[in-house]
Amino acid sequence: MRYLFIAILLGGCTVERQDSTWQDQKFDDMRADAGATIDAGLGEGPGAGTMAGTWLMLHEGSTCVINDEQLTHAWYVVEIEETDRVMQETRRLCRVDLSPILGLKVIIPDAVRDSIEFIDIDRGYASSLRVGGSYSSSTELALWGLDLENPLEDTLPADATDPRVIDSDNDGQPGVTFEIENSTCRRYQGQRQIIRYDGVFVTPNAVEGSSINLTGVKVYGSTEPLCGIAPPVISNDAHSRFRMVRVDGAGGAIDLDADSDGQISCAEAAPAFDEVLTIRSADRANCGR
Amino acid sequence: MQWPTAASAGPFDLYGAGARGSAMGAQVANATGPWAIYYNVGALSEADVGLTVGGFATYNRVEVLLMDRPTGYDIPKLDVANSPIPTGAELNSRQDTEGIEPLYGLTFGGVTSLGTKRLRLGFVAFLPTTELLSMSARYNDERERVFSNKLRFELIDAQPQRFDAELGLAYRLTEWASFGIGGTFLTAANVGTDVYLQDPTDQENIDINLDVRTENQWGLLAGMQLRLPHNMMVGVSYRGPVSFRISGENRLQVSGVSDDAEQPRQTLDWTPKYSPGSLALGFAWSVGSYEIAADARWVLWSDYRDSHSQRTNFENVLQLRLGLEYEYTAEDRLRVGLGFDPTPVPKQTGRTNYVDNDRALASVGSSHKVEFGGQGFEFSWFLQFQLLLENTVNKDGTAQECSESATKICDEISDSLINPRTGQPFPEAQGLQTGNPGFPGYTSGGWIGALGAEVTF
Repeated sequence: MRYLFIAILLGGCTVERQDSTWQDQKFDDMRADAGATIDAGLGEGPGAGTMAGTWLMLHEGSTCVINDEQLTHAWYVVEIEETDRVMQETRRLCRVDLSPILGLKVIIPDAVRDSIEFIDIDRGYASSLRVGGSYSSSTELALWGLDLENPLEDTLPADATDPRVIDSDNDGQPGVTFEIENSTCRRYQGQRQIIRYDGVFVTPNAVEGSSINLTGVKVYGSTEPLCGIAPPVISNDAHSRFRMVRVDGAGGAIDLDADSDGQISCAEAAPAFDEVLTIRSADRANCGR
Repeated sequence: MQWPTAASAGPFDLYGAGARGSAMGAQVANATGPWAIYYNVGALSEADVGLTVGGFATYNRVEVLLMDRPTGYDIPKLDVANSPIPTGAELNSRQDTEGIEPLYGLTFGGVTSLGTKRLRLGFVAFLPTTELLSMSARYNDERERVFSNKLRFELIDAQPQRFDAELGLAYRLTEWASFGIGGTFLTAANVGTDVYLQDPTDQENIDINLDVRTENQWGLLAGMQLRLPHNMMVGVSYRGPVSFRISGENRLQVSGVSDDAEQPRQTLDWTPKYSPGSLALGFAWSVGSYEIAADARWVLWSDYRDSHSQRTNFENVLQLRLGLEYEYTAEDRLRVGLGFDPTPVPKQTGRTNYVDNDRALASVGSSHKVEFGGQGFEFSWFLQFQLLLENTVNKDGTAQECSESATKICDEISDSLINPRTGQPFPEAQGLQTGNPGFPGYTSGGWIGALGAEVTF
């Protein structure tokens, strides 16, 4: 009897921890669902509460070349990863159009466009994602036909024989090759492009603003002397602008992922190129003439 | 503003009064000595004149084991004003409850006739030897997360840690009927502070005046004992509820707030100790050397007030006791008892975590009369075992936003809370976020033991 009593005390009264019937709760799925259920136009929708995702950007960069305005319209697909309000932006250049100068329109071949190396050096941030909130991009640093040890600060190579000049478009010529519309003229050059974008949220899924551009060019040759002329390119930031819209379906935005593979290619984004921003024509008056 | 405390029954409610009562359990019809005041003050008229001194100690192995929390329900860190303390930043981490405070104390009792044959006046008292009065604070819902972050047995933990005193007066009306009346005593307090805060940014330096006034509170005791033919007895008793309630107000003066009407006021209202009212019917029958007793006590827990003086949805319950006393010599008696105390606490599947269990009781004891120095003494002892029947609580799978009236497990961060930076709801605030220590459930159980002795002379 005594041993039974002790056994009850030591064993029979032990409390066993039980398992809960509650399931784990996940938030990412909830957020994705919320975005996907809303159908909206470009830049519309209530927002996803984060900039993380895929955006389509059109940059209308203004430069002055020989007192004439040259507009560069560049469409990018921008992948943004956000960590504690700081953003890593990965850009893909989908299309570049340059306005003509002195009647000559420079064409950037697809091979050149695809060879551009964007270099990740810093981060962007946004103070608020609400309408009126400020956005400052990471620095867009791109080298065209160049391989510099310090991409931001090294002086551009002066000579085509400099090993830092590379045939990045694989056409057998130094640097990258620009074409002249309706001409067989080719120009071989290296280029460093530095751009930062600052804007505000005009809707939770659209940012508009201006840019600061710095472009350095070195010509390493041409098929004809006329093509080899490289007059100074002067930034004209007061007339530069951009618009960036979310296109991944999150936060009520339009979803351009036509094949639903989770990635938005340039081809998938192309139908929306004309809707991002109403582009304008170059105006000589913007360069003081 | 509410302040947390705890509440429960007194030491006699939990362990019984006197060695005989603690050993047999059932005493309403056949209580003896001064302890009749507790069980049935009407039976005090049969008590021998004398004094009783004793004591008892308790030991326990009770536990509340919390279920593991599923992921996704924690309180996130949000960059928004007045957001709750995030999970992991609490003073104490969420933890199981292992054991309750043991109780050690002395018991006293005395009976006098005041020179009148049919009259008896008596008292009983319990004096804790650890702390005269122990009060500690607990919320019974998600608010406790930022304090102890654990659960506590509502009725058996700190509550019995208190001084208890009862008085009774009984008169034998006839040879077969006795009537008694008495009171059980507790204090109450009115507490107030006047606080002056000169620099709201330096809250470590404040001036405080204290104003405390205590008052006596008595719970009514009444009972009747009837002697029936064939050595049978019937007892009926009533015990009124009694509580230790603390109320008052903190008045704050903050420098820079010129209008007195705008100065903060903090209302205090605690009920840290509560013994419920009860109605009891007892029956006893003496057969040869045996005395059999049975009690049924209807305990009015529905009037229970929790530590914040708020009414609960506790239920009235019927406690049962069955006792046997065997007189194996003229001087020696053996006692055994059984009992069952159903919990008055409903299943805590919602917001609150009042932890309590059904209890099955078994006890044994004996008494022995001796003579020493020409004076007669009776030594008695008891050993009591209370098994807390295992109770598993699973919180219901539905939730509501937290509010004063919320009864379900509640969401401490509204799904519609807007991130001031994004203008969007916080993704991590969607669904249920709760720091309720009892979420998603828990299991309680274990056992309590008590050993005591007394001498009567």
